[in-house]
Amino acid sequence: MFHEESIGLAERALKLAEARGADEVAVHVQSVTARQVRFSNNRVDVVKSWIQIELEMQIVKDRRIMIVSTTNITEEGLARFVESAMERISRVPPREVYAPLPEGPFDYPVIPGLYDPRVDEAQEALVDAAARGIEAALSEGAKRVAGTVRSYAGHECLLTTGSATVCERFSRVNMEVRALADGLSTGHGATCSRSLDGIDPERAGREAGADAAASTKVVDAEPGKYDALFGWSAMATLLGMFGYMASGLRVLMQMSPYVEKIGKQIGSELITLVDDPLAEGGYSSRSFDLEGYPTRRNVIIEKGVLKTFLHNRITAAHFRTKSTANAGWVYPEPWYVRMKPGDYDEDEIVAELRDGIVVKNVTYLRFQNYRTGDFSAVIRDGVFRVKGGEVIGAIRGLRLSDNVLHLLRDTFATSKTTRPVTHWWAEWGPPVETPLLAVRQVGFTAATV
Amino acid sequence: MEFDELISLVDRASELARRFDAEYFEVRAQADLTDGLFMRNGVIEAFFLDSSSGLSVRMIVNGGLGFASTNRPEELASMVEEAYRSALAASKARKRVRLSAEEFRVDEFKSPFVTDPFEVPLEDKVEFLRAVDAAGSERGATARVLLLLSSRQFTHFINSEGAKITGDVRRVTLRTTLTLVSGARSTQEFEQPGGSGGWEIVEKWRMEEKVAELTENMKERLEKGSPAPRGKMDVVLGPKVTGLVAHESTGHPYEADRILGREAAQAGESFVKPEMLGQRIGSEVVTVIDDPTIPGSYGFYMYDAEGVRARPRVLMKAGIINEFLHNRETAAEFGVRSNAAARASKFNREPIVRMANTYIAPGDMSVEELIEGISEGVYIKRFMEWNIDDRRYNQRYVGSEAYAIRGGRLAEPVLNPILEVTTRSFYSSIDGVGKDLEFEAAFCGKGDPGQSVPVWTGGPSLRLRGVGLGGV
Repeated sequence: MFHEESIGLAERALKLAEARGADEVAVHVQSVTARQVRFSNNRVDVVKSWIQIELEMQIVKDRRIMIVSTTNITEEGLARFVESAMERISRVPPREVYAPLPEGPFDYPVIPGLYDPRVDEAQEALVDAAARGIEAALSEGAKRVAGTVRSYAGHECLLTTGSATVCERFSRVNMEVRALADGLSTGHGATCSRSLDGIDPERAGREAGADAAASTKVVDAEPGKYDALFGWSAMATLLGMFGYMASGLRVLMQMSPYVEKIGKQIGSELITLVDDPLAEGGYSSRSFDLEGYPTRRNVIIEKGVLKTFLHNRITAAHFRTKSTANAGWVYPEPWYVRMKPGDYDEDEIVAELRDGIVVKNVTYLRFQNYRTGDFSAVIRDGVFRVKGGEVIGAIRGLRLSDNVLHLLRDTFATSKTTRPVTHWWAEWGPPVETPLLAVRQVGFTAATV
Repeated sequence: MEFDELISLVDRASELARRFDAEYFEVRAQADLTDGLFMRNGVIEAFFLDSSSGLSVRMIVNGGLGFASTNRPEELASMVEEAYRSALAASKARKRVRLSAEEFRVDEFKSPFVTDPFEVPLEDKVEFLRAVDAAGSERGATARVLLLLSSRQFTHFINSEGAKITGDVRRVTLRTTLTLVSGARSTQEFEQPGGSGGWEIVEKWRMEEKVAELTENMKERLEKGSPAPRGKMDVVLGPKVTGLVAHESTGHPYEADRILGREAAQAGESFVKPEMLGQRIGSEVVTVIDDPTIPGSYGFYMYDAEGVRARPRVLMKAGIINEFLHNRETAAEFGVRSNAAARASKFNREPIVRMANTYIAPGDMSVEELIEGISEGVYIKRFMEWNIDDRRYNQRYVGSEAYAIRGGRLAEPVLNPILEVTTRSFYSSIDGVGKDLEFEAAFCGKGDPGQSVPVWTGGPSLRLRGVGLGGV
């Protein structure tokens, strides 16, 4: 069995903690073989590989919660580590608000399409994908191409004192291509899948190359407010962040614009946002959370109304509700955020913009105030001016300066097609499946000197 | 894995690596132990203990660079073979990787300490956090989020050219985030002192005092703050802001791997080109240094992750671009020696070009003297929001604690002044440098997979003439 060693290891860790006085324990073991090809200036820089197993535990004693992780899984090493954890746990104060780990046994959903055995041995295929992505970008007019292709294959298991026992195999392949027609004219393409055949290096390369080439024709644009269309890579950043801000702990920390907004209309009726870990073949679908609950589909925002925060058992207790099966180790977190598609083709949205800006990628998103949702972000890899419903050229030097709630509220169009997207700068949340999104009167600023 | 076991695994892995026809190999073991206390509004939300240890191998075969790592001793041979196969695969698709010639030694380094942070009773750490939390709550801070991290990093490195370096560094940092809500208005602040060494450094932070002062200031700004002025004016920036600027707009663009394009798809490239060495980028009063060897610093090390001995790097000297940050690969490309900027965040990460402790050198002016010379302007003492484009040229810093300046004196608090400026304009407009150099701890992110490494950002107060404050 693929998971025999991991389950054995989890059992050993659980028994060690119980024997040393733990009241409750959840053990997560992940075994992965990962590979990566990094390239820049049209050539491969380095090929990397990892063979790794990691063990994480949540240990509870007298309402004290400790999160531990170790890569040292030798018999002696693990025993020493658990002993050290148990020696410390009683020395922190107990929690006032507490809920026990859920009691199973549970029936976990079987989600098709999460594992492709070919990803285990993907090294040559990754080098080949890199070459295809580079070629495709060059063929569109790029001069230099950089990027990464990554593969992960393995399994994870969870064992808890609440009778949760579950293992799941996974594989993931993703690629991003950044094309440069000159130092300032860039484009970005991304592709991801659970299977080796599911990624499309040519498309990622073509889109990156085409946007880079198109960015060489520059027109002027003053800072101000414009209607904006956010492209695929941009939406990986924005939609991930929209989902992440629903974490119950972020709300408790006053670090989310969704504070005190449950049941309120925070977005346009076009905004329906779902955390959907059950999506078949979903890039980050999964069947269990780290407390042992079977995952489920949670509607975060429905037709613009904020329906729920995402909870683990502890934040659920704070809010006097039930867990939404989104437990990570500390923060409840979305697994796979999907936005409901709309009715528009991309061209139709551009036409609707009239006088606007197309933003292909959003990076470096930082908040002035998480609670109000005021933020700014660097826009790049294709920022195009639209006039009279048509793209008239690329613009440079502007920065997205707006507010999360405004983006949700003034959305006026979403595309009918969606894509799974993730990339290096999508740092705020999980991978997403997103349509294109268009918003009225978005703020753009510029360096004044 | 215990340190002795890691050292013996490094020896075994290097024996295995010698059997391959590689032009170069290195084996690095690294163990990172971190304990963390996460407190929200006086309650310990979670207590962490993270132990990560293992090995990695880098190999150059036919000019191709391969990297492999494992935390499983039984996979040692597979790891070395993977590194070889990876290097071979890479060799088919690029020009030859060369490394600069360096002198290597057998040596070790440690961060001195009086009290091992891991030996401090947890009860004392909790008590410390409670006191910091109380300093905020008693003054009305709506939310206080504290993350106290104690860490120890052990490294053992061998390469095929004779290096054998062992490092052992302990660090402590506290990330504090405060929110104050008043009616429909709210404001936030963060503060992060940190350093290498023992628990004794925590006492120097005066965190209770700092949080009390911050909270009072947040209240004042919500009650009395007026909209920030816009337009061209003189601005004074506090050390918290200038330290970040040094890191973001001198440190990053002077990383030679960015200049060469290796990070183009991730963190980005640089507006700095190789031929810009020796060119003026700022006024004569500005010097920017990156120095890993500062005792007690958060980014402290004496040898980098390629076994090269560390030294201070003067990146900008009196306004002139003076030196880039190099590892051995970029140094070879530039025809220079490495200046020991290779760092790896964990055992399973490739060493890449990184900063350590980047700061603007102090001058001799007091803050009062800097402000005295301004008839109308803004003093931005602290910030919350910032970002910078991937060439590190167009950047934005939004003030949190900030004041109007009138007639050479501080006036009322102003809300969220926005400094959005180019790197050249920023450094060229500086005409006054304070003597109040301060450092703050941070984690700098770069690389793929991401690598978060501890750094200090530092600077004195600076006076900028005729820059624009903006917004929409």
